[in-house]
Amino acid sequence: MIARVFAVLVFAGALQAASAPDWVRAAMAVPVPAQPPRTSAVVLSDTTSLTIAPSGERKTVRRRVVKILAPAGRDYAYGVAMFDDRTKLRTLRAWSIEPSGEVHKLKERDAIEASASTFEVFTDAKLKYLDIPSEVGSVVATEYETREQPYEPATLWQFQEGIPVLRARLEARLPEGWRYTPTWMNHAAVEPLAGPAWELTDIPAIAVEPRMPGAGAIVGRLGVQWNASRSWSDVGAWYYGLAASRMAATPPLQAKARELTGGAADPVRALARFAQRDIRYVAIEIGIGGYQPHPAGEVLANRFGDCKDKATLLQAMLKELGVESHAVLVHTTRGAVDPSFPTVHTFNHVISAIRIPREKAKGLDAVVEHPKLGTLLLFDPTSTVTPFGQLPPYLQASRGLLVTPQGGELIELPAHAPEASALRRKAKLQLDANGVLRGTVEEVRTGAVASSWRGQLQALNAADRTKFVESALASHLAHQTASDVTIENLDDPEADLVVRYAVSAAGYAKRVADMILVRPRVLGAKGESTVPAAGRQHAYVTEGPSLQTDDVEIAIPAVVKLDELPKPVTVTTPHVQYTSNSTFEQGVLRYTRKYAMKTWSVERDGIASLNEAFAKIAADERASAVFK
Amino acid sequence: MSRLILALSLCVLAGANAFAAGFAKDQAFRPATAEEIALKDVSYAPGAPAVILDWIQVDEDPLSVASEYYRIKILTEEGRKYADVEVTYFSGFPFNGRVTDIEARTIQPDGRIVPFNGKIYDKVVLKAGGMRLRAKTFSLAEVQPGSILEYRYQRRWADNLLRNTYWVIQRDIPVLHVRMSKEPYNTFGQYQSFFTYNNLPPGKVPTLTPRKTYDLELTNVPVFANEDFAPPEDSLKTSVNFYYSSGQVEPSKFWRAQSASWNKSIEGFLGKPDALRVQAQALAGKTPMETLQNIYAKVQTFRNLSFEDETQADDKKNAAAVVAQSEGYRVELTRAFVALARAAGLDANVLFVAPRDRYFFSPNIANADQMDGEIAEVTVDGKAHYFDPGTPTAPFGLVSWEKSNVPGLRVAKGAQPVFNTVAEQKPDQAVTRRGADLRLNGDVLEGSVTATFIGQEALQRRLRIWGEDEATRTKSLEDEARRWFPDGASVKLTQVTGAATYAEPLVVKLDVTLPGLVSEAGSRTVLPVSVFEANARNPFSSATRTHPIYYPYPHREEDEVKVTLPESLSLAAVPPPALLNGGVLQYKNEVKQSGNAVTFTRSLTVDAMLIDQQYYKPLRNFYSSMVAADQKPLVLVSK
Repeated sequence: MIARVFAVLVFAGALQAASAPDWVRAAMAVPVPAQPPRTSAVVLSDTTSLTIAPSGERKTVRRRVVKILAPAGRDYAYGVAMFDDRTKLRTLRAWSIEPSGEVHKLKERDAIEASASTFEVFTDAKLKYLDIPSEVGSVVATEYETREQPYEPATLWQFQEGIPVLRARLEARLPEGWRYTPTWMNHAAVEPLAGPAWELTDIPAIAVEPRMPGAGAIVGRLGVQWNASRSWSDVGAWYYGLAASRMAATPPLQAKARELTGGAADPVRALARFAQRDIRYVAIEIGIGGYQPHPAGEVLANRFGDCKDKATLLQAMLKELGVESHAVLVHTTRGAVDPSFPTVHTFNHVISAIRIPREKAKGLDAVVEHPKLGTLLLFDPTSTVTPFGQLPPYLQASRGLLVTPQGGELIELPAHAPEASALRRKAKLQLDANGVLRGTVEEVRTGAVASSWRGQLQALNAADRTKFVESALASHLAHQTASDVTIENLDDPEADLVVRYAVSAAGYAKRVADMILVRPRVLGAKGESTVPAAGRQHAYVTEGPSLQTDDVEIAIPAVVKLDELPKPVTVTTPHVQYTSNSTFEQGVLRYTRKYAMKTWSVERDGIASLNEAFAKIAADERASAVFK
Repeated sequence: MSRLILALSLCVLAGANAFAAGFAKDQAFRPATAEEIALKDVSYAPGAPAVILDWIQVDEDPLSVASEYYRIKILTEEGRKYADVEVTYFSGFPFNGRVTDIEARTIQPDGRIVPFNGKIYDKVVLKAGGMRLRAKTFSLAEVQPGSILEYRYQRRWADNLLRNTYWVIQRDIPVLHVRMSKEPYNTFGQYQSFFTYNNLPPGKVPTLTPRKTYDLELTNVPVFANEDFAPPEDSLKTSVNFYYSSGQVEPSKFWRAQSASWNKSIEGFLGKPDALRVQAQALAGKTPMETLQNIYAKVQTFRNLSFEDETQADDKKNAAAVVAQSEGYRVELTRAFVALARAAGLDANVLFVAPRDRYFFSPNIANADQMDGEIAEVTVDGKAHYFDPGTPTAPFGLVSWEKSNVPGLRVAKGAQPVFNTVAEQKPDQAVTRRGADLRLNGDVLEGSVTATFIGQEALQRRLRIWGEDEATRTKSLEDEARRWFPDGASVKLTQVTGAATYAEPLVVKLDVTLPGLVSEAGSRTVLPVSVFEANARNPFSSATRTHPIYYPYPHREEDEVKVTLPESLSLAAVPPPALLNGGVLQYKNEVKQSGNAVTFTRSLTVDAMLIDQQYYKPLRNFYSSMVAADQKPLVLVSK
């Protein structure tokens, strides 16, 4: 958005009257068929032309023509080209053809240049962005040309996007005798045309739905390997070649490894903890540095590095200990790694696989059994809130490339059992004669459930942490006041996160006629949001497996008598298990419940029953006991 | 951006500096004291991830150099992020900025010094045309909780560039000590300099020293608190701004001169009344107010170029051109309205106002940028009326909220500038009226909802969907309605009226299916009295408050919900009415039963814009009580 504003400020009046190129005219000549409702723009044509030299050097020309159908479609009136120290941007141009037929042209000098991402302290990856003036009915066209020496002889072509594409084409000019291997992902295979070239028509927009998988897991793509048939092992070998020398031990590294493990009950854990907590995440990526780690000794000296730096340092230190370990290349979007197309471009993160004795795997969740390498513990030293023995939520039930000296192989990353991420809430409360509820609450979180709260709470100071708890309570209690908030083990991901507080809620008991209604649940919501099941195109992504229990005791004033209790509830689906029960004994209303979410993802045909389960849970949470 | 342009327009002085600036003595690196090493937490900001122990900034404009020194103690693992440093600067013409003499080091908890010998990167943040925003970035090594970071650098810019200076002192971490010093450029009387400040501690202002520098020293600067319903951040943060000006800097003289300048510009644009006499005659009504309505209606039909994304249209030369072409930018439309009103013989003027969405106006600040809004003032029968014809679909007699209840400056030749609060708005000028006619079917409520948005509430929604296609408008309105109800609600828009006109309320009709509202109490069925607020929570959940409470505008909500019960159920009891009197906040609800239908009415009136934080506790209690009243149960029993 800032870029758009800047463009308007700086370049207003920079348009030149011009004529549109033939390829733009040709795309415009094709009638636009009726589009689904809410379609704001449509890609008339998107052609990527590759010319690959025998050296592997690649020229890419991309020509894209978009028609704006509605005001919101103006968000697609832009041209963008990425480049870096290895990829030279030769030209960037754009045209805007108004509904009247008047044509304006923009050149590269009209573009904004910016870093391609912002999380790094420094990266050489940059982009140029052209904001193209348009109105409803306009056609905007962009063309750019880049020259690069790619790291691998492969192309990953994404032809599907957020708006419909009428025609998408990938064409390549190859050196004599070169072969190619196409792989289709999230799309049926299409036969190549001469050239080779692949052409698709009438590609629907990606349906945007709540709780849908990440775009990387569902978008239509074509991967092509040029003049080679690269395997995952080849990709692994390539990374190993980059990283192996970076693991060389230095005297300070050896000394630090000895210092950390001397006397440690669990030396592997001690080193992992060091890489996770004492090495600050700082990304500096220049050229091959986007893939190649910094030397482990340098990372240790600086006490900072990015994901691959942290993993490499950990491996180097483990090696000093005589423990075998490997890098694992992963993507932080579940499902983004498609096993059918081996390429390094599909990864955006690196973690470690540590070989451990099988007997030591007990109690650890992030463990895979490898037929040759034995028991491997997966560990992400970049995630500072994930306990040793677990994977962060974004990596569970995913895939990774295990890199070994022999190459690499794709492995499945485990999903953790619900028990690995738990919330245990205990509340001891008293209701007074005026309907005020008072008492104490203890919430113990482990695993991913704890990670989520840790990440949020660590970023807050003490006063804001209390506000955080108050805000959470306000969703359940109208007149809430929280006090005496204490948090244990906030900075220790391996320990349970314990939050205790005192709570009071005026007017909690509701008097209606001769009845007093008391909601036994008091706090917390277990179910997740429901989504329309009819017409749903994508699977439902849950908040992840977890096991949650509530045990709430409310001491009721002796002057009132129980009239009715809420009925016990049991919900059982393939994905959700829920039970709740209310009792009243010796003046205490007790509510116990247990909720288990068992999966990360529910396929379309399971969404209706998932909705039903969540609705039943929500109804139970609203239910009241009646006293008179 | 406007401040930037101000600086650019002043870059004309001759005489290059011939001196190199160094760091000040108190910007020298120094060992950690025992007290600093022992510091684990900040008493007035417990749990802070880091603390600025010392921050020294010395701006030497005659040398075109600003030197900055930071001394930061890391208190938690989270605080280690302050070891990543990014210093932005404009490298292109005319600033030709540079960042030089970067030095840094880490002092370990045991006092050991880790010098910074890493690489300093030069990053392109944004490059557009001649504008180049770059950043020097570096990361300090061996940083851990307990470390003290020291770094300093110098910003340099083109000689002879009069550069305004903005000290935003309040940060997201506490500042134990800060010293700032500014030596203005000696312009030999050609230009004036002045400073403004905001939220400084009592008795603390920049003071002129014998060295002709303005110095400010503060201790224990609190962390800036981010809170909902707070005034604009720029009005709250502790800050000092220094400006250069070619004009007057004494406020009363400045505003008099500015008023005269605006008057000349405005009157020139409005032109003589005769220029639009014919057009005005065609719009004449039987009364002055009817004439005004006709003129307003006419101008509202003009194309509003300020609300088009990609317009390339030129500015108009005068009001007659706006009328002739039936288009103009926002202020041009306002001025055309005034010109037409004058041509119709009415007492009409342009009023400059200070929009309150970004900061609050102060007449003591000699900065015309504050008053960048324009509305029209027309006096009929001795009473002033305010209009906002430059805002599409603004109702007749109502201005967009940010220009309401603000100081206005009536521009008149030779007149002393007087700041009056103008365009006051009342709750009945911003009304949300929601009606529902529902049937209870099993555990689901089904039926229709009609939401009527009046005045400011209609305007803000119309602006939100202005220029959008029908599908986007529908989604926006449905999404808003969906948020009134619990999860699982089905909301389908059936009709919208008044979305593109200033003259009618915005009326939205919906079909709804609402699961998730009915609950059980044993064998009984329970409904919340307010289906629209069953999902609401107290927006003031925190027991503590730092800033005043700020509502964009006074407003009122009125709900009426009719629920028809199945024959098998009846209401166990009709709850008594609820009445909450919070002074400027008023709430009431009532439930009535008629046969098998239950009707719930509710109203909330907020007749306030700014409430001092000392009243936060009763205000919070008011909202808690209101949520409780809205969610009071209706118990249904089998007949």
